Amino acid sequence: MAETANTAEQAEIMASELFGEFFWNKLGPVNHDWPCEDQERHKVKEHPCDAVYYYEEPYAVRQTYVHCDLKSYAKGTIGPAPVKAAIESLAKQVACAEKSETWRKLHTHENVTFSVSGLLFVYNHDGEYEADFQKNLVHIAPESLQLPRASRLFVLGPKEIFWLDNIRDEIQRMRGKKNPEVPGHEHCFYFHPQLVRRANLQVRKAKAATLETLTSPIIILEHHDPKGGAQRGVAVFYSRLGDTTDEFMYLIDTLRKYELLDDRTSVVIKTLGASAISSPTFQKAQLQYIEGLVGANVSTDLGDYVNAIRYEPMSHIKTTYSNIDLGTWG
Amino acid sequence: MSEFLDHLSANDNDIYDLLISGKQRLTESVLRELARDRGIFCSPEDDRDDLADYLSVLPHGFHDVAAIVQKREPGHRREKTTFVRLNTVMPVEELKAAAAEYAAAVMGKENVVYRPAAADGFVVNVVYDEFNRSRTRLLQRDRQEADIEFVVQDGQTLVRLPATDKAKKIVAALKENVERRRKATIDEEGIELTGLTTPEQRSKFFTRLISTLPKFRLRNVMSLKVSSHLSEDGEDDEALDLEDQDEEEAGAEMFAAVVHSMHLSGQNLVQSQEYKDLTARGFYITAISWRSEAEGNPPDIIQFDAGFQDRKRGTGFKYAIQGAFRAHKGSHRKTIVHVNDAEKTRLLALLESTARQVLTDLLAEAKEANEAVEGGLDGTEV
Repeated sequence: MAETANTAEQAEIMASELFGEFFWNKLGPVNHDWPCEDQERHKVKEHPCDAVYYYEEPYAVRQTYVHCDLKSYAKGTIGPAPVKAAIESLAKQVACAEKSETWRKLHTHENVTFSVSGLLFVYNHDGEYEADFQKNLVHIAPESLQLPRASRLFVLGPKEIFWLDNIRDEIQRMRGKKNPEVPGHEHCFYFHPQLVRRANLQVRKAKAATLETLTSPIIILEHHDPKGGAQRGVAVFYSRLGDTTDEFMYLIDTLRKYELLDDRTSVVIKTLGASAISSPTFQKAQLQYIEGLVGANVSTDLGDYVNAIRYEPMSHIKTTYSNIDLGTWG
Repeated sequence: MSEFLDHLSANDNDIYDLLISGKQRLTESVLRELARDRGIFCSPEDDRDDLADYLSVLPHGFHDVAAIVQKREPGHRREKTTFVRLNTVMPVEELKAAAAEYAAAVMGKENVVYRPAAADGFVVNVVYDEFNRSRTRLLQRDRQEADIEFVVQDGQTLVRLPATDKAKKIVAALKENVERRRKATIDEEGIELTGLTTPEQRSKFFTRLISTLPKFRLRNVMSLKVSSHLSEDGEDDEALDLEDQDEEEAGAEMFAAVVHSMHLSGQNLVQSQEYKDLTARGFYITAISWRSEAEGNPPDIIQFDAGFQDRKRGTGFKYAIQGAFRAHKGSHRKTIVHVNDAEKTRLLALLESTARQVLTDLLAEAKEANEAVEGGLDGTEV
């Protein structure tokens, strides 16, 4: 059964707000039902659809369509059973979406290679997220899901949504300053490194944060000078506590491998709810990294770039990101 | 390549290597769990290779890589212990100065913590990175820890340390620091079988060690390693044991059977024909693992290990307390449990003193035997 029109509208506002900042685009109708293509196995006549977003893949010439199930609940009212049921159902929806003519006509571009991923989006609407939502996933055997080969299903729980929504808020805050730290959307894109075993084939085209990026601890926004200068900036959103020099040295070295430490790039690392000692720990890691390269008191260009990395824990924390209620379980 | 950069972070290829090569522990379902921990469910139709490939291109932070390494190699192997005796009492102040000097010399590379312990003892803890080039690049850096204890006993200082080359080097450096201050050398004594030249004498060290442990009764010999004069020289290596020559394996099995039956039947091992045959063929024990029951209360069964790092030469004595089967309602529990630090220290000290006593006795016996042989020869010549 489709969610109510009102709920769907509210869900759409919420999702648009968040995913818009990560450069996802919506395609096709929201909140509708469509016929199941495998009724015998799936034991339903129709599947629901809350919204479908798409983005370009950086490491392959294709689009990813994200078939969303948007859920909302009040703190303390959710258990493993409904989460499991939602994931099992979503896996079937993803399997059918690839085969369904109806779904394809409504939600995909013509003449485009694409893949479908499922997204279960779960937040609690009373604003207090539960950190241990992930424990609901432990009892789900991935082997039991009816997902077709190479398809994936992603879960963004309350904690992840809280984190992503704060990134969105921070970017908008940086952009809205009198002297904007981040330019308009057209000059921004999410960074996907050139890898050893994969090439980023669509550096310009694939500007969205992929689901893989959004579920990882490091999300990097790159922005170019709107006036066409060679200067660029990167904002590195790092989701961990930041209480060890090891993790920061790892992060600094990763930025070096990503070729983000150079003359023309200003780098800022942002954390949320990090450890109280994260700032001094980061400084210590910078020093240790520079000393490790060539020893103490030796000046090098790379050392200067490392030194110039700014570390700024996000101080403006958005605790409630929406007071609207999404569709509830049922 | 800079060693510093070599082990700092991982690229996708490193992570792929790490995942794909750890087949035994990083099974398909473990890889699925790694994905699930990120909130990602992969298709059940994807195989292990697909999963490793997919996971390796995801952005990884330090903790993610550490979690994979941890899943691949859970915990450190139970380390064996060794000891040396220094023929002098080292006061805490002197050790403190030596440790401070060592800490200053390795600053930035090793983390050194030192503090006085009970009964005029002293403890030095060193955390260091060890690099093993033979492993997958990401596993090469291995954080190690060496706990070194100084215990004053009968006018001497006993130093108890992990049986690793690094720990031995640290102890040598500390000793050198003390010697430099004193402007005098300190004699050192360890357990070495170099003075025992026949296979019979070498094996006797072990059979006597396991049967004369004070306040313990030998219950069972669990495993043995043997060597013969024919086998190649070289350091003992756990992995190499699997490749030991068939004959050695056969020798070990027979030895174990003999030692075992000796205990059960109450025969004297050295009198048995099988033992004599094996010894005559040049086989001798180089390591042993056994269980003994405490004669006091509670009558727990303790599993011990003892052996030599250089099996052939009989140097580098190392030993461990594997654990205890606790006494329970007139019998013993079925599972082995760790012993606590105090109990472990007591048991290690017991092993050390027994090994020392056995070696002293055997050396005396060997000397007597030699003199007797020489005397006999002299006699025939006359």
